[in-house]
Amino acid sequence: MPFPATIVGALLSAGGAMLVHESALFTIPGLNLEVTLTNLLGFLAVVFATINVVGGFMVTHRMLEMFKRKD
Amino acid sequence: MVSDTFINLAYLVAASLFVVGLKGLAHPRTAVRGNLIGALGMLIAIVATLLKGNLSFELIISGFIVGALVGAILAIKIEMTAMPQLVALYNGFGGIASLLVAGAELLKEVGVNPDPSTQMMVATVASGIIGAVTFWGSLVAFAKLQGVVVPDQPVRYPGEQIVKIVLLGLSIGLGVLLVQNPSATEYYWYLSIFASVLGVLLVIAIGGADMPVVIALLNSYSGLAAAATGFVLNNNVLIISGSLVGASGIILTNIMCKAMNRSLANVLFGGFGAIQETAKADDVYGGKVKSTSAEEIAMLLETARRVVIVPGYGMAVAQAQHAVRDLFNLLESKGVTVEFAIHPVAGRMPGHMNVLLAEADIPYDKLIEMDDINPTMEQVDVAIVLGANDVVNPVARTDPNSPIAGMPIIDVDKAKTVIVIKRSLSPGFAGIPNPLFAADNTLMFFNDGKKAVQEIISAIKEA
Repeated sequence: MPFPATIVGALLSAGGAMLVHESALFTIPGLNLEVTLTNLLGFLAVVFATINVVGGFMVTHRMLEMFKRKD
Repeated sequence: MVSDTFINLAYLVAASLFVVGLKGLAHPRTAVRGNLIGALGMLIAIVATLLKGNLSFELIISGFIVGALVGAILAIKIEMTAMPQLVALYNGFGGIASLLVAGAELLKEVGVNPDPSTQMMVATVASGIIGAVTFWGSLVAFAKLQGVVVPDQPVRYPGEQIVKIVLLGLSIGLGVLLVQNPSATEYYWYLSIFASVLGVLLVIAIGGADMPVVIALLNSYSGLAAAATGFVLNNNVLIISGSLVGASGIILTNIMCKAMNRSLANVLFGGFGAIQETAKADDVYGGKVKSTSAEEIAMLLETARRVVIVPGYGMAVAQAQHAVRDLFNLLESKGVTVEFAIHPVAGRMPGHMNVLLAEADIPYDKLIEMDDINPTMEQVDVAIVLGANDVVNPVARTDPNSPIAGMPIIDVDKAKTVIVIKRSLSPGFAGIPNPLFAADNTLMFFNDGKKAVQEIISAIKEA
């Protein structure tokens, strides 16, 4: 088996950390969104976790597709 | 919003799908389905988490889009030969995500509750330390495999183990302070910095050829970090999936260490003992190495009935897998049986050779594992070693003082004729000469892996 362990962490519960309880670092005008340190960290976590999860499943799929019998 | 019972049921379904998917991945025939089942489980877990509510959707959705785009583009665009470093990178991103989630949760929690539970605080510290080590360790592994910034060789210096122990002690010490005093959130970032330095130093001391073990171990760490974060958030599906990854990663690590007859501690802290005085290259090779040509190899292959090809990292570097496929097809069309002997630690990630050969359309049942092919090596007419060295070095069987003593090898020396395709007589990762190159039944073809195979193909066609 090439990569039995690429089902990597379901880190997307990161979203749970995105409650606004503190003063904003800056605001995004278009969205009228106040960005605090907490939700900035949460946002970055979602980005990294999504790369890990989407990339992990896709790259595993790509590797496994090559093992299919080609007759 | 949706009730907790419904969410937890969804998590239970997701967790069951992870287990079923992982089981499917254990066999090539069910692996594609297994991976898709795992992905479905992930999707259910994500949707359930979103339904929990209280989320700032703008940020989540934009995070999803950015992450999914980057992850998908990397996964689609990457060259197959660059797969090990990509996998290292993904592990690292899992680690940093755990670190960030735990940090964000800590800030949020102390804002509303000055006295968080000890369980949460301990789990936060664990997420930070393991996440930071995973992230920076993976970045160094990536750099080593990509050949940028850090050297491929182990970077060693006096007292290195003490430095690492001190860094670990500092991280844990700060962690204890944070658990006792949760509102001092700056301790979390300090301990993450110390753990980051530790992650860099841990992996920088390990050589490029040991990266398969390191990648398996970092994969395990990324799972452990996720599980710790699960305890921070009290999120069951994260605890379960993190534990699954952590456990499967450590099992794989163990398999790879066994394949080298080395302990994990030796891989992580020892490296190959360069101090021992083993046989000098001149004594081993002096006047005994026979060099050959593509024409001679073509003649040998045409009269052979059974040929075994042993690929190594050199095949990946030379990008020779497609040329190898052409040689395979040509020989099979002439009625020669051709098989590939796969050593568990050949290449730079678990299954590296399998992936490359599969990319070149070599049928999976032609890849034979070491333990299955060794008993039949004596019936092999020609064994072709392509860019492998230490994994075919018979010294592992014969010299108990050798740094690779006891490591299981592919017994190519037992074949009737051995052809070694290699640029020079330079040693492999273990840094020792290989008496196989000077054996009576061995012919050396000094050439680039891809060019060598192409020249052999034309020689067979012209004959």
